[in-house]
Amino acid sequence: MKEINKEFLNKALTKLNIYEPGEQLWLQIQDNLNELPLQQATKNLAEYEPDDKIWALIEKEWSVSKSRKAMIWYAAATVLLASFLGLWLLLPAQSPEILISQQEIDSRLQAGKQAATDEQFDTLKTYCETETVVCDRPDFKQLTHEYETLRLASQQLQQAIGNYNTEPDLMRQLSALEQEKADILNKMAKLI
Amino acid sequence: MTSESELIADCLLHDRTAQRLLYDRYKKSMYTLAYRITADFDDANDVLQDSFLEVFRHLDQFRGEATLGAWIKKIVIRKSTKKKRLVIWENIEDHSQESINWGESEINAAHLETAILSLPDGFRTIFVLAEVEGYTHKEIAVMMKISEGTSKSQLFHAKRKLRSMLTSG
Repeated sequence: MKEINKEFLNKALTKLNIYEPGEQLWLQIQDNLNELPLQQATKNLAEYEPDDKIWALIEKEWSVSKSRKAMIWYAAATVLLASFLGLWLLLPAQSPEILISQQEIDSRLQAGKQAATDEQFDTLKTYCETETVVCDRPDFKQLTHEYETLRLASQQLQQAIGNYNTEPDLMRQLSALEQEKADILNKMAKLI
Repeated sequence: MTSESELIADCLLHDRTAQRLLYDRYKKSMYTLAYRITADFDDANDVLQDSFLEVFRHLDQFRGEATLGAWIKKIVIRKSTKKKRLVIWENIEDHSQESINWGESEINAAHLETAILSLPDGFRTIFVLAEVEGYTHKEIAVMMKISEGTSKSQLFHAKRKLRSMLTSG
C-alpha cells in the first residue's frame, strides 16, 4: 500500500484527544483493592479434617437407606404385578365382546321356486271338484291329507329359514319335504 | 518524582498511595486507548478498572522486560478487545499495489477522531494499534491472534474507509 501525503494523517494523529477517567473510577478500583486482602485471605483459609466417626455414620446411613430403597422397590413391584393380574382377571367381565356380522340376501338361495308343486296340487284339487269318483277314494283322500300336511310343514320351515338361507340343515329338510310332496303328487296323478 | 522501580516496589507492598500514584501516571493514556478501541466510555471505564486491578494483583509477575507502561497497555488492549468480543476474520488480500492519497491539506483532528470512532470494530482496533499506538503488524498479529497479512489487509481497509469518510465529511 502506497500512501501519498501521509504526513497530514500523522500530524492529525498527534492532535487527537486525550481522555481522562472520572475520579469515581479510582474509588471503585480502591474499593476492589480494599477487598483484595480479604480475597487473598479466603484463598488461604485453613482446611479442616472431619472425624473418622463421620464416615462411619455416613456409611451406616447409606446402607440403611439402600435397604429402605430396596424395600420400596420390592413393594412397588408387588403392587404393580398385583395390579396387572387384577386387570387381566377383571378385564373380560368388564368389557363384553360385541360381534358384528353382516348378511346379504342371495336370490339364488330363495325357497320360492317350490311353489310349482303346490300349483299342480291346486290344479288337481280343482279337478276333484268336478270328478268326484276318484277324489272320494280313501287312498286319494289320504294322499291329499298327507300333501297338505307336508305343505304346511314346508311353509313353516320356509318361514324359519327366512330370507338369508344360512342354515344348511333347514335347507336340507326343506328339500326333503319338497321331494316327498312331489312323490305324493305323482301318486295322486297316477290315481287319476 | 518517584522512579518506576520504587513505585513498583511500593505497590507490591500494597501501599495505597503508591498504587494511586501509579494509576494517575497511566490513567489518561490507558483510558484513551481503551476508549479508542471500544468507542464507548462506559466500556472504557470497565476496561480501565479491570486492567488496573489486574495490574495490582499481578504486579509481582512484571519482569521488567518492557516498560511498565507497555506491560499495562497490553493488559488494556486484551481487556478492550475482549470487551468488544472482537473477531477479526482472516483476510490476506495483497494491497501492496494500491495507494491512498491523504489529500493536499491538513486533516482536522476532530474530524479524524470522529471518523476513527465510526470505523467498524476490527478496522478501528487495527488502525489504533498500528497508527496511533505504533505497534508493528507482527506485534499486532501476536496480540490479536491473527496473521500479519490479515493485520495489513485490515489496516488498508481501515485507511481507505477513513479517507473516504474524511473526504465526504
